[in-house]
Amino acid sequence: MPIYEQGYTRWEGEIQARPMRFWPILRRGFLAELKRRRTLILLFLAWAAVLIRGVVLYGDLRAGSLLQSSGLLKTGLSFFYSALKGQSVFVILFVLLSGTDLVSKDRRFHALQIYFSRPLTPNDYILGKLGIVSAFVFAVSFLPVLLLWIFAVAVSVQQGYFATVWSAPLLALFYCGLWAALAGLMVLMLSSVAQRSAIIAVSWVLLWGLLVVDGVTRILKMLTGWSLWSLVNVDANLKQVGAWIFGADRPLGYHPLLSVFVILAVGAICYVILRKRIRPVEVVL
Amino acid sequence: MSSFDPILRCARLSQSYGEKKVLHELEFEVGGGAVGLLGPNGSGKTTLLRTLLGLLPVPPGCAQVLGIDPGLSPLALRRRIGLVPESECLVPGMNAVELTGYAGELTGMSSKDAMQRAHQVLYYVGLGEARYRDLETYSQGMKQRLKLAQALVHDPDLVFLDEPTNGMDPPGRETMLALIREISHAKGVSVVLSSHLLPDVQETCDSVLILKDGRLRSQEAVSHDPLHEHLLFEVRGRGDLAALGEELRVRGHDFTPIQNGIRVRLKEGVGGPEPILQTALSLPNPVEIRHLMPAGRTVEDSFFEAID
Repeated sequence: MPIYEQGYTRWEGEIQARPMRFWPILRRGFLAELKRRRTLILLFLAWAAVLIRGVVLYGDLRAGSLLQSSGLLKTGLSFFYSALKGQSVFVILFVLLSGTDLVSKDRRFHALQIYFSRPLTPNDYILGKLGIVSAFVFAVSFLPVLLLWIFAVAVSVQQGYFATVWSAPLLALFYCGLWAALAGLMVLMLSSVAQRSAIIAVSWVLLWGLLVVDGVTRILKMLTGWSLWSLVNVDANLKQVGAWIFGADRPLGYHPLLSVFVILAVGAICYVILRKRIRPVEVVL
Repeated sequence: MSSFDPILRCARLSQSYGEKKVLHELEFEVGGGAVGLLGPNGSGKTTLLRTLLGLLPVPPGCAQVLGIDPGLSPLALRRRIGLVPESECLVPGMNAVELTGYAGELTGMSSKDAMQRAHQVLYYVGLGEARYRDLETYSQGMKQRLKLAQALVHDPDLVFLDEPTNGMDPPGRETMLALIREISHAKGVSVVLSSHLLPDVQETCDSVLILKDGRLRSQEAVSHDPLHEHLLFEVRGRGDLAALGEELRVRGHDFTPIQNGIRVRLKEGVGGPEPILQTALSLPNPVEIRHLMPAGRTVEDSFFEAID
């Protein structure tokens, strides 16, 4: 019986230890998500939103309404922070669309064995998966805002404007990194403990604090007398840190360092749970 | 590594899951080729494979695989090992080429090399024509062969196969065993085959380790002697078989009666069935031999003896 279509041949190449072992996971996951039509449409919309902002900026500039008496553009760092905040809805959509199934499907299809029979550690796996979510967060927040900044600097002409906003890309990079890490760790953690995408998505929305809006926070404050209910709202704490670094008006009454602490604590808890759920060997005793 | 270097070496290797001790001070050394790992369910076969892959903590110095300590350098070791896991495993949303190429990339191959090699190994395991098909339409046998392909994509020096013929129909099983035989005996890829199917091990392996309750009960070579080297035969037929046995004894051989026949042990250096046939014809009342089969100690004999 002819069993082989082709004989086995040894491979002449050499496998080297690679420093970024998570890279294939990130690359494949990102490209797979990019093949979907809904992803392309959302990316287009996310970039269109910033493009419109750019057009409005240019129109205002032409009309002279953004020029101060000194001849500088009135838009400072807070303009770019507001552009970042404007991308929130796309960040949320991409975190939910790209992140909810990342771990749950691997667990359901026993794919973890494929990963961990290779030279990969659980941290490489987590970094790769987090990288997929982060790549989309950056693609719809940092990159378009960076382009907006380049555009604003280019059309402003004056040197003084650059001196005012030169730090915007660095601040945006930091803010988006924090955003991606926190939102990504949270969605991966939920994806590792639940299996159904809908449950993971709803849980993420709840945990992110999107339902703990100002009104609810006030009612809770009235009922319990505790004034720090905003601490459970991850989204509000992230915005508090954003407003702090960009020099905009802060949404919460307490010091931004408390928000930093909340963000770090939530991130650490998510990582610990995720690390416990991602194991090379599942043992049922 | 020369062919005389052991591929696996364990020295007082133990493993526990929490309080439960699963492997008890295993001590063995095996060379290249194909090694069978046998044992009843729960005997520790899969745990041993996971330990040797470095997926479970191993105290340094207790084990060496291809000369590498899995407790010290698990990642370096896994670059040289392939695993065919027992359970079904797929990366969702990928076809066979993508999955196999992805496995190569995860091992450290460049994406171009991994993709080229994925096509090669998929053709090798007989999935060339089906390599772009949706994996959900794959039969059990195709999924098993896909698992072998992803284990071979980076051309490992050693492959761990955990129940590779599970759920396969007889032709599929034959194909899989033939693939295992070829890579282990003609291509220089050593194989550790964990199975509860004794004939699979008998057919493919050169030596066997038998575990029970996490302890090594036996380690022995598997006999694949060709007929002309066989010394032990079972003889059945019409006529006086006892007389045949006595005549063989006179000529320096030995025999013992068995049900409906005799088992003949030829003297050393005289292998093959010819002495028996010649003796049968030389008797005053020739014996009509209707059954003459090599009889030897099979893996099955060793297995039941070891676990009893």
